[in-house]
Amino acid sequence: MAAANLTVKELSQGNITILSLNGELDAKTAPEFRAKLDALASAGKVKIICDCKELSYVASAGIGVMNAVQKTLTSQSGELILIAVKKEIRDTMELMYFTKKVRLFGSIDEAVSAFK
Amino acid sequence: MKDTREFSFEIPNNFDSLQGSRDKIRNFLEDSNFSSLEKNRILLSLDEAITNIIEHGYTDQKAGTITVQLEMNKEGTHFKSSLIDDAVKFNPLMKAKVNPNDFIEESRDGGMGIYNYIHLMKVEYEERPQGGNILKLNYTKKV
Repeated sequence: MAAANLTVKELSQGNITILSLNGELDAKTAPEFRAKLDALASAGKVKIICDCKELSYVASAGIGVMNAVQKTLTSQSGELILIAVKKEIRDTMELMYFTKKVRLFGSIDEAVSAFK
Repeated sequence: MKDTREFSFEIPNNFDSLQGSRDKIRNFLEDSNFSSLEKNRILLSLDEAITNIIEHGYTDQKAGTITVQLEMNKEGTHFKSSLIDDAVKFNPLMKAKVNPNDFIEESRDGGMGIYNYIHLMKVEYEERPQGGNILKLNYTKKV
């Protein structure tokens, strides 16, 4: 039986960090994702865009990570912004009211502009 | 000819089982009349319930097995499932209600799994006489 799989690729654009997520974010993979976001916040990289184009599933554990980290980032004048979120994942976020707390855009360029 | 399609499988009580479990549920839902949003809501509900059983049902670290039984009517509009475990007794319907506003305002990192599946599915609970639990999550296509 396949183990849950999530890969996270990181690149920087000025003081903005872009994380490209590929796979599924569930109770198995959420702790690794949390560790990645916490490490960025600790390094002062508090403006983060998550590219969700290749993210195919998110459970509440994944949204919980983003919900908690958003507070850390905003307290340091940063923010977590999501782009290219599939409608099914957005539906899950709306169920948990998370769309009240995160900005969603269609492209990296739109998200970068939103930070300015 | 049967009026329903059935499929069942067993998974061990660890998070490594989640991806494979979702893949089987996805495959089962493929041949249905549910929309992609409905399929994801059903998938999310079962995944949250299984995660909750694994995370909280086996506090003594013992190895356990969760049996997942799936059933669909021939029209592909009515889905039934049973999650049968040998974990400690736990009735999620007796759990205090969670408010998503509190989850957001207090920046919590969890505690929403039960809310999600109770909000999305018709839920029934039975205690197994031999120990463990049966959680039934059913969904009928919205008109």
